[in-house]
Amino acid sequence: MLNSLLRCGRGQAFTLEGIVSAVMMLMVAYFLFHSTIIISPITGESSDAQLKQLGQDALLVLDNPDSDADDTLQNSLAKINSTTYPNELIASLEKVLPDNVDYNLQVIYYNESEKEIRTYSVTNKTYTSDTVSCSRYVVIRNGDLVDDSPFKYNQSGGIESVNDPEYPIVLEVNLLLWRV
Amino acid sequence: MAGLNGREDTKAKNFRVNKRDNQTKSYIVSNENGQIIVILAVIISILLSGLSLLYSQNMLAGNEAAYTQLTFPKNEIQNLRTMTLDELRYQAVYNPNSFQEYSESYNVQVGALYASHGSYASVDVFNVTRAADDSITSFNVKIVFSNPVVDYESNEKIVI
Repeated sequence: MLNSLLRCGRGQAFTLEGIVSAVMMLMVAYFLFHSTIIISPITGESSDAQLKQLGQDALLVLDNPDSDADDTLQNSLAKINSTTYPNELIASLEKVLPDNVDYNLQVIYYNESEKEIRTYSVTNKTYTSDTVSCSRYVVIRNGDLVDDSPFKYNQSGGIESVNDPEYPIVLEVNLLLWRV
Repeated sequence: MAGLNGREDTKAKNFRVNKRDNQTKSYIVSNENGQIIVILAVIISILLSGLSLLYSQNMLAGNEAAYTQLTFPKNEIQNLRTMTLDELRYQAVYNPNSFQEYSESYNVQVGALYASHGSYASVDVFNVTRAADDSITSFNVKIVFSNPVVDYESNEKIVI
């Protein structure tokens, strides 16, 4: 019985058939999803982690308090007012981020006079349901901000005096990222 | 005659075909030569189960790594520490008279911003030593960060 089983060579066609069907299934999966990796909710978290790292690195690159360049977070945010848009920062951000990633940029700050957190939206794009948020905190001196800056501290009876130029303003630069 | 013979030939042929079909059917039912294929199928299915288990473990490992990376506040703590030390050094050198007031205001802003993300952060400055000309020579700073995942606290002396 055992000898006859071992000498039996009739399974080759079935084996070949199995291999061919496996190759066919892989090819169908590849052509349907354009990839052999199928994004499931679990692998989606890995994708979010990559996106978050990407955003953190982009903000880290642009956070350069000692530079005089126009596209740093400090210099760009200092000149924002109702008419001035941080074009250099946006241009650098778009160069740093990959083409298949879109973003919204917000600045979150503490309003000393109202004692509340406020949000200033630099860009206001329509985002998808799967977004990743990453933040970078920067300090700008009150005197470095333009006069009508939304972040300016100009209340009397505060720490020092009205328009204290050395007063530290802490800003949270929030980058909302999603894949397109 | 020839026609009769031809009809008989057809009958004989049909009989042979039917007999062969019946033999084939009984051969498939009683045949035991497929056992090796069945055994191989079992082995292959066990191998596939093992591979799928390995793959699912791989996916779980990737998921855990991504979850840890997403939840651990590495960047928040690094950012808080470097930003605080740079700012306090600057204020100690250029604004020694307003140092305490500025550091307190800085603490309030940082606390409020981190609290908006469900974290606690505080920056306390103490043991400020001054020279005869009122300039600051050293100070201690305690930086605390806490969220549901991690608690961080550093206490260091900064010498100007």
